[in-house]
Amino acid sequence: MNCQNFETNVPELARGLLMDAATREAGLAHADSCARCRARLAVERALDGGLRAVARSAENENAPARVESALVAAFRARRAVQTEMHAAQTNAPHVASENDAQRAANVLPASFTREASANNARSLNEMQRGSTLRFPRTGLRAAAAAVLIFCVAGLAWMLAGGNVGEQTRETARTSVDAAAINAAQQTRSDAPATPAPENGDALASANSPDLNSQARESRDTVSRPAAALASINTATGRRQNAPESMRANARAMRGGVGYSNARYDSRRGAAQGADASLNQGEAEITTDFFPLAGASELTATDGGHVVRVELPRSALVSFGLPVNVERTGGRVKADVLLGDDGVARAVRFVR
Amino acid sequence: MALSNPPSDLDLLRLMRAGDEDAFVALYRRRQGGVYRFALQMCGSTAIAEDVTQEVFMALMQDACHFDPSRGSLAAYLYGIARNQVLRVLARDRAYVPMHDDADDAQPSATPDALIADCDVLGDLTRGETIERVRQAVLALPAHYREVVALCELQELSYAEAAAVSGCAVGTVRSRLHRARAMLIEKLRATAEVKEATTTTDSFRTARCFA
Repeated sequence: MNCQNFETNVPELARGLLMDAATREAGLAHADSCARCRARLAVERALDGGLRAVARSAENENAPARVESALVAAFRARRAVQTEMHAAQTNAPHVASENDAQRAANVLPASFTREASANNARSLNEMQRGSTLRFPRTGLRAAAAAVLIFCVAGLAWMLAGGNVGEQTRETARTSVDAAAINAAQQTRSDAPATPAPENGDALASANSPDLNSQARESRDTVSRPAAALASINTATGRRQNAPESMRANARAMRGGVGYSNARYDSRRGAAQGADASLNQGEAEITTDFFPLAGASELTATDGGHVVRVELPRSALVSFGLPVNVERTGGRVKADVLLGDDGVARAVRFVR
Repeated sequence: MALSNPPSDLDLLRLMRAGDEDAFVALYRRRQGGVYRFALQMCGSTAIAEDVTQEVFMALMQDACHFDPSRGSLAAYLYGIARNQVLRVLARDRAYVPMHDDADDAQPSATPDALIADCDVLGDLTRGETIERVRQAVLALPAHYREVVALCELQELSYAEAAAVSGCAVGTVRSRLHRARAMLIEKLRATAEVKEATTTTDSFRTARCFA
């Protein structure tokens, strides 16, 4: 063997593949005698070793399990289709009917339902009728499209009607609000006729002697500590008139307004977290807020909490309120006005 | 208890055609590894290899009746489908194939003298750190050379089986494999030289830094 022949056979020699024994012996003998070809064989063997190493490193690489899952699902779907087609072919010699479908169901796998067999029978009938079914199918599609359009139009009409209904409800709500405003105005007419200040003006008018804030609160429809402060600042002078004040509060509460256990932030001008149960429950009769000794004044920009508590009935005495001596051992409800610093500023009593 | 021989591919295929899911699963588990690895060695992408594997067995589901046992084994049939799928993907993604593949294909084969030199460069190819270099070198081969390397060297198919997969004569497979091995040696030697040059340059820079 010469070097050219050796070059032709060197891959097989390096890989150790089955080959003609004479050629193999001749090639190895040539490699022993020729340094160049011996080096060439060594390079090929090294490459073969590298390729085997790559093959070994990839031995454990397999397709992920999701491929098998997808294929199994596809196989099942395909088998189901084939079974269905087989069932249709089984029924092919007959003019299919519902009875044929029943008969077909007997030869189908258990997974096939009678309904599916009936569908097969109907499909077979259509197949046997051939092209004459094309126009009716088109007609069915047109009818379905018409029904769909009708449904969409009806839905649009209903939506438009819904808007009208919404407008009607809005009008009714406005009427109710108007009635409530009239009621509030009626309440205000019972109260002293004083121009109602806005929230920020409450302190400015706080020292007004005829300021009975309860009616004004009924108009504002929110819990307002600023108005409460007005009551606080004027309550001292009106303690003697407390029963009259309580009656006014009762009237205000009948208008749907009253203090509640609410978080008020005067900087935002709205009550947050109002306890609706207090407003929506049965009417409560409240006194004005009585300032507590040593409490600093709240300004319009301060926030506060009104907290419902229970106090001994004897506490009414300390504020100059009449107490039934036969019931002095009981407890009364009270609303305590707390500032943001947690210090109680005022208290009012609730019945 | 008598031990029965595992069913052949043809038996499983026959059962699969009859709708036996277990036969399909058994056939899949027997053959998916080779198909997946062949696709992976051909394209270097696990995502494509997964897709190809799935497509191969989907095709087997749909066209199993086209398989002719007289023309080759079922494994060769599956490899052939995988080869066609991979070539289709590679043709679709031709824009992403490095241009130097074609240049290598156009270059004349390395002379035997060139393949003899630097035997020690390839002497440590069995080491773990060089496996990736060999894999990259295989991936850098032109497709028709890569497939014979993947089939004959990595999947250890015979020349006849590889010829059946590739749809060419056995002599063509043999010559392609011969040429592919020569190209691999060239690529690996070039890679080793670049690495050695880089190491030398780094050493030189380090020396200058301390000079």
